[in-house]
Amino acid sequence: MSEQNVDIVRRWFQEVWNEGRLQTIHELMAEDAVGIGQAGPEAVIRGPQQFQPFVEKLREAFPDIHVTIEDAFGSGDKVAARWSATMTHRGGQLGVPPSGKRVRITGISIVRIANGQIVEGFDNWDQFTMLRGIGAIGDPSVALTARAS
Amino acid sequence: MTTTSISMLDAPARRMALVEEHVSCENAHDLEGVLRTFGETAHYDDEPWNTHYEGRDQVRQFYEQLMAALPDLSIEIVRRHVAAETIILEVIIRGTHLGAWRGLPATGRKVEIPLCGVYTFSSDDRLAGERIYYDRAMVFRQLGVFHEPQTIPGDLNIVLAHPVTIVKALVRKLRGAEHKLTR
Repeated sequence: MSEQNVDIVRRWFQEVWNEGRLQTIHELMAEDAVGIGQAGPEAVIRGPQQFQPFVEKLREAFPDIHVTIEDAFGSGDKVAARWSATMTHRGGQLGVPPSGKRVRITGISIVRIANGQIVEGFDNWDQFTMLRGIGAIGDPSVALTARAS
Repeated sequence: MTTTSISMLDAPARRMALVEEHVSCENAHDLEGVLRTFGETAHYDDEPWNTHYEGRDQVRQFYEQLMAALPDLSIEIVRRHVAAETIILEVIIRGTHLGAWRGLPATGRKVEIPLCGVYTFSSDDRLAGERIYYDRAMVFRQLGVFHEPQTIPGDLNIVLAHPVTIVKALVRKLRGAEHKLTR
């Protein structure tokens, strides 16, 4: 069962994020699924109806987004996946003019699966790497050190 | 939990007990205790910074910096995930920024950060390493040195910190409009 669950998570990242196949969201995500952390540490996304626009927005900002699963394993009804993602900033959907910059982020997802569908997902990733990479923010440590000296 | 009682448990329970002991030592600010939970080939990976500490001396250095930056550091375990070779904890880190942290002078502000820690184990069932994931944007926001895009301070920051990006975007937009007009 654990291996089947890992396959579901691998398919999710490949089809939803790498290929932009929106139908897979509705196939693999339960109607009452809850996602925490995908859009920021405290952000909650509920069900495919909210997850689809989130994917569309990010893929419009980063049309060539590619997620690589660095490691994935299952335990009971849960799967942990450590991933990296590379992407080029081509759209202004995040409130920042498209910079054309290429960024790489890393993160971890812990997903619970029931009846072949994702029912719960917890993500932790570094938004700061993305925002600095696309020019949305400067480097606070440099700014503050300069101010203090 | 003592080392003697840990040794009587089965492997997953023994590893979970070791991780619990590790976090207890972190909460007690017991640096030597924290280091005792690691094996000889200790390593610590701070993923958001892409910083990797290899060996006990470097791991000690990481903890010395962390405990100086947040002298009241506390860690609350929210969820535990036990797999065949790995344990993952979802925790909340709390503390007050009273010492320099990676070039940031103390701000005196409090932080409360969700963090995910991945623990691996050596052949003698000590910690081989810990890899942590968290969002630095949340840390910097709580320290008052980061503003979201689409807010006035955030927009100002974009313009001041990245004028070239703004100009390039404007040129691309104008070229796009020109291209549409000439078609």
